[in-house]
Amino acid sequence: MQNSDVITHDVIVVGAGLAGTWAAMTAAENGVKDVAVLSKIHPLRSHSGAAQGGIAAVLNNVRPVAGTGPRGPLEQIPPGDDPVDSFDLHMFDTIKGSDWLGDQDAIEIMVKDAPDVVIQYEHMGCVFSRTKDGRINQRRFGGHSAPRANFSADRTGHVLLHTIHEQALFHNVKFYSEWYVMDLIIEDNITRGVVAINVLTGDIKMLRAKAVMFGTGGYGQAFKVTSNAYANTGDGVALAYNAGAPLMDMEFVQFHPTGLYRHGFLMTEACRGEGGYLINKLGERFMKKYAPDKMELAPRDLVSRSEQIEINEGRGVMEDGQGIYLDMRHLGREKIMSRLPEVRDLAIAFAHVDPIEDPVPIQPTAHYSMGGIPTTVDGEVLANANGDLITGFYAAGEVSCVSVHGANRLGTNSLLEASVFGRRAGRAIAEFVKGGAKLHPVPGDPAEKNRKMVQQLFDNDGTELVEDIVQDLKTTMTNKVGIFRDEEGLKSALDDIHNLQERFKNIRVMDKSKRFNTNLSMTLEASHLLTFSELIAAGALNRQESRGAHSRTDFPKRDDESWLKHTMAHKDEDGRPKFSYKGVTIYWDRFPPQERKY
Amino acid sequence: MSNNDIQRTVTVRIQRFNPDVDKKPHMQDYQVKMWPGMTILDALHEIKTHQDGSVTYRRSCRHGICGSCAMHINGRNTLACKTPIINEVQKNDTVTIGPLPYLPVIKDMVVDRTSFWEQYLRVKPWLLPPDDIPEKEFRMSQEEVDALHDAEACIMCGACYSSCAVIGLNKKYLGPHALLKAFLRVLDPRDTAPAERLEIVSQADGVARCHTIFNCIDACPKGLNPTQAIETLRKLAQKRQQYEEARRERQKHLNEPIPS
Amino acid sequence: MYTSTGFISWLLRRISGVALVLYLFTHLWVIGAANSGTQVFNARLDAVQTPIFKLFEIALLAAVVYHALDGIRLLLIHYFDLTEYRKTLFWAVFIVSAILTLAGGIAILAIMLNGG
Repeated sequence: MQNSDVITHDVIVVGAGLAGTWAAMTAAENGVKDVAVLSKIHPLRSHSGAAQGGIAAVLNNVRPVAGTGPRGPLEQIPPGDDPVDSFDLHMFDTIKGSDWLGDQDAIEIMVKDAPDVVIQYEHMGCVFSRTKDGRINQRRFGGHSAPRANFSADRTGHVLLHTIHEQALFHNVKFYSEWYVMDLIIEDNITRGVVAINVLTGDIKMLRAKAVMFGTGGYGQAFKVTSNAYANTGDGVALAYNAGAPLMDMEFVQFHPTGLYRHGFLMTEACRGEGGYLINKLGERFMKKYAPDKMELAPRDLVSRSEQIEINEGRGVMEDGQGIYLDMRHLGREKIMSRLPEVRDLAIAFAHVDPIEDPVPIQPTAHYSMGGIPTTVDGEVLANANGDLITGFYAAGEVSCVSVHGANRLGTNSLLEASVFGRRAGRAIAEFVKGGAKLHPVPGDPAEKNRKMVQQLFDNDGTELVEDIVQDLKTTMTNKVGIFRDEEGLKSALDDIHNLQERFKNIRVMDKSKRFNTNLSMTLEASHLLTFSELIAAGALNRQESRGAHSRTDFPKRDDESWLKHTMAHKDEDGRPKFSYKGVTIYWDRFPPQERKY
Repeated sequence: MSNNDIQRTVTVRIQRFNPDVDKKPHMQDYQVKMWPGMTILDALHEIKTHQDGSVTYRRSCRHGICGSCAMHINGRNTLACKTPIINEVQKNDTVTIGPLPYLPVIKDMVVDRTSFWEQYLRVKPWLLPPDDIPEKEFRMSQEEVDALHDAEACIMCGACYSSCAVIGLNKKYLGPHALLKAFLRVLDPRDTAPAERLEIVSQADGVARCHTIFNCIDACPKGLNPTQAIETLRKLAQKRQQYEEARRERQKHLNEPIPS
Repeated sequence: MYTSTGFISWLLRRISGVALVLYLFTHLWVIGAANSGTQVFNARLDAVQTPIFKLFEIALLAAVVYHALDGIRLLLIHYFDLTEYRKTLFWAVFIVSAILTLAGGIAILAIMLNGG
């Protein structure tokens, strides 16, 4: 192996969204100078920036105006008055939202770290919307019993991402922009480094590090209608799984109730948090039937299921009956322009309706992956269900599964999770490196192995186009592994996926150039889509109950006796997933499992 | 417009250039069948995945928040993901697409943004807060937030930058994107160094180079106004010491509730 | 190149500015001849009154008028937020300059044709 081909850093972070950037910046702040962040797109293009509604934290800045009911106006809490929110309440909401699959110790840490993290963002220069007396403004959100979504108009993720990136630059974190990680090297349970392609030149290099951290985000692109960017192809989960790490709770995929019809773009939950209604073909606010108390502000899995039932029973809108109306007209021009400008812009640009004048057509959209790489509360990746660790491997954010979201995530908890656990991972990594972590040798020549693999792809010259395989996968996942699942559909989905994996061997990569070859990167991304989709379907088939976002029409009830546990999937010798289980941490005296009604 | 209109086949004319194999850029035509709601980005995706995998462009979010897909469409800079193709093929059923102007082309629509990011760093985009950090948030009024005129909404897409004739002639000009970012930080009451920032933007390649050509406003997909931000910086730069003193005064009360 | 009304406005501003500077040198060259005696002075004055220079005079008028009006536009933009009216202002300057140049140009030519 030529030395010039190897790059060495103390810490390599993959993914420059909130989680990765927090980890890198925190490690740098804590004395690790040699941190490098690799991102397959420019850091500011990361999908963290697409988050809209807010970041949850118990700040107690705002409360409902007395006597105006659960959809009434909010006002700032005068100093000295009683708080309306508490850590216990935030914990309970999150635990209930997770349908009791969330690990309560991790949730407690997240909820208690939240105010500090949000205030740190503000001190770093984040522009938030403000109350009259200048505090960070908060709004209601689905599944939260108090208004605790701290927001910046409807571009919260965008301002958080830009702020943390600027801070990382200030701390001299090195960014490798447009370097696509192709392989994770773990040997004897010790992390050695990664192999990455410099997209600009097409050179494939080995990068050695004492610690590798994944902040690579989610995998919505496996579905037809998704809020996720083209970039969200689950590279991190697939690479970790292929390298021998387990993946946890993959069957839990969140479908956000309000994606723009056909396109799937996110129309933030804040539309409903600010008072918007969901209407079916008959003009009814149908949530009354499914969640009489919380109505449109029930958690996302519940609302999506309700919408899907309305659609399946013929009460959907638009030509194909697959839509639902989101009506915000009664919010008024002023509120929409100041609180929801981005969403209005999207509705006008893509659906040709102005939410001030007309209801907006929406539909459920694949939005978030609750499952992922299992970690401790400090971002250390688990090797198995017993809690053993993989040395030098860390993960945080959507790619990880701590698990704080369990079977379903509440809105505004994801920006929070990425920030809190990204920061904690950064601290843990700093301690690990300063504590004398070694740079372990790399077995063989993984860079050369990957170069040969790429050359094989180029030489393959089969008859299948990658996009056709991807479209077929999306159809299978949406129809058979979507909001409602059953045994027959899931078995058929697994057959489809195995079929597609076979077809993939016959693909043809059209662009064989070295320079900026996005045809190549899209092909590699497609292989990752096939890898983790199998796990989602297999996990869904395996879990014979309905819990949170995982809904089995043949097992419609939650089964705590048999299924109050996390699913861990390892890759076995045949390349198929092998399941084991990990217990859920529950504070039985404080938050024992209850029926989940809204 | 009837659905029949929408589903016709149109020509997408793309500027191709791979410096490794081409001597100079050349135009190449592709035929695409439109569907209702199709955007330029959708058309490019169709071409790349089904017709010619070597057509290269940057993209990610598909809905105008990541800033990757800024390119030159029918003579103006805009985001490909937010541009409906039906509006662009009025003439001869053809839409012409090329990379952002004035920047070196890496491949097809992918340009080298090194100078763009260097200028962004030159204005020190991070906040420089006071040393006295309170336990809770700094107090900033909604009016002070509104005075930023949504400058924080900038997605750094580069449409403004590569529509600016000054950038075309002088790569060292800070540019509308960096000056908008400087404006965001100068006006923020939590920033302790407005005079230093105004000094930075008053240098030779700063605000003085803006000739109010206004292309940036036309190009900005978020409807932002870099020209006005630059004007404000110009005015403030003339009184930077006074402005800094006013800032110090304001910061004495940064931890107190905003009076109603 | 990215063409637009703003770009044309800037281009004409530069061209008219350069033209005015060149005019200044020419003017100084002519007037400065006063130091070299009546004959030289008259010779230079005659040289700049030939028909071709009449056309230059009209061009000078155009440059002065455009540069002055555009200068006023710039002052307005610097003190007020007229972003909304930016295109209107560009066209106003173009059109008023054109009208004034036309009117003045006709007068100049008329005077010339009537025997100066």
